[in-house]
Amino acid sequence: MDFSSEIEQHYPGLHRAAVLLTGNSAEAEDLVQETVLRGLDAQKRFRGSSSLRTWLYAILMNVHRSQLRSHGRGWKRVLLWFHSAPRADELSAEEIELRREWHESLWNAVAQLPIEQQQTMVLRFAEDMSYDEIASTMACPIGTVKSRINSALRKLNQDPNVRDLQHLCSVAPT
Amino acid sequence: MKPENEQPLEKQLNEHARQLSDLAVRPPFECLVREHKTRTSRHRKRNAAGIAVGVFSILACWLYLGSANGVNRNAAPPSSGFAATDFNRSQQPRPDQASTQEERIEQEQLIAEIVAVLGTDPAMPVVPSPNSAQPLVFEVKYEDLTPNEQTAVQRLLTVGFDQWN
Repeated sequence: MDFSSEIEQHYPGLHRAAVLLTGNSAEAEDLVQETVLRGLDAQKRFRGSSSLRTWLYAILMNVHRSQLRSHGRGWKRVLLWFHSAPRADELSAEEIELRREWHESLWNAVAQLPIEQQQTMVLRFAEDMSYDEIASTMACPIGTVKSRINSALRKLNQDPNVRDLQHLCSVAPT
Repeated sequence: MKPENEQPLEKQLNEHARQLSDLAVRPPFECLVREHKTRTSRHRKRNAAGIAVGVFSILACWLYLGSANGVNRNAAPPSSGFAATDFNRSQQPRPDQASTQEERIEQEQLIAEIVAVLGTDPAMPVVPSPNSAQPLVFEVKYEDLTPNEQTAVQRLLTVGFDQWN
């Protein structure tokens, strides 16, 4: 099996994580595309000391961090908005639905947390990674991972919007 | 106390993740691989163009500096100017570099003129001073001469004044 086929096996998971991190398809596609391209470029540098899965997720998180950092700079943010913000009538029905669902989901509240906590939450509760895998992906000790998750869950539990959401979700028909 | 129907937060996060993942449209993986190939090819072209520009720039600088050293005679003279009799011969053009017969004749005429001006004593080339009885040392900066004059002076010093007189 060649390297791109191996990466392809993790593609759905990477895409899901990207959607949860960004909240829309366009940015998620950019994020996951950059991740896969960097992975293919860095094929020779992959030594196999970690699993391919954690290696790819580590790239995804790094790309996400650097995109947030570059998007966060004042004037660049304004430029980016002018360039990339699509008009409502340019969005597909699926995209509108996705954005609406994301805003109403708990992941919108997770996105308000500090970036390290947000990423850790995605790896833990969306990708079902173990603490070991998360520590390897985020290049931090297991204790830090546990502390980030605890802290994030505590903040979410204290958030009144999250409590409302939980209540809504629990009474909504499935 | 938690309401009875409240689900644990972790479970809801997982459920929401699954719902959102189902909603999102995922582009085919082949598109990404194709994009990778395009980008790799684009990078190669850009690298090749970069190397070509670099080599060209170095060549241009080298040619420019070379021509500035060899031809630009208006450049500032070195701090230690030297007399016609005091330059390092090994660094100067050899006398047989005059390529054509015309140049050789021109050089010989120049030599004759220089000899006429400087006098016959190579150790003390002098010209009479109009205002003083003391002779003035006639200093010539080698850089200030034209290439023909430089070659002529070189020949003059090699052959010696005596043979020209």
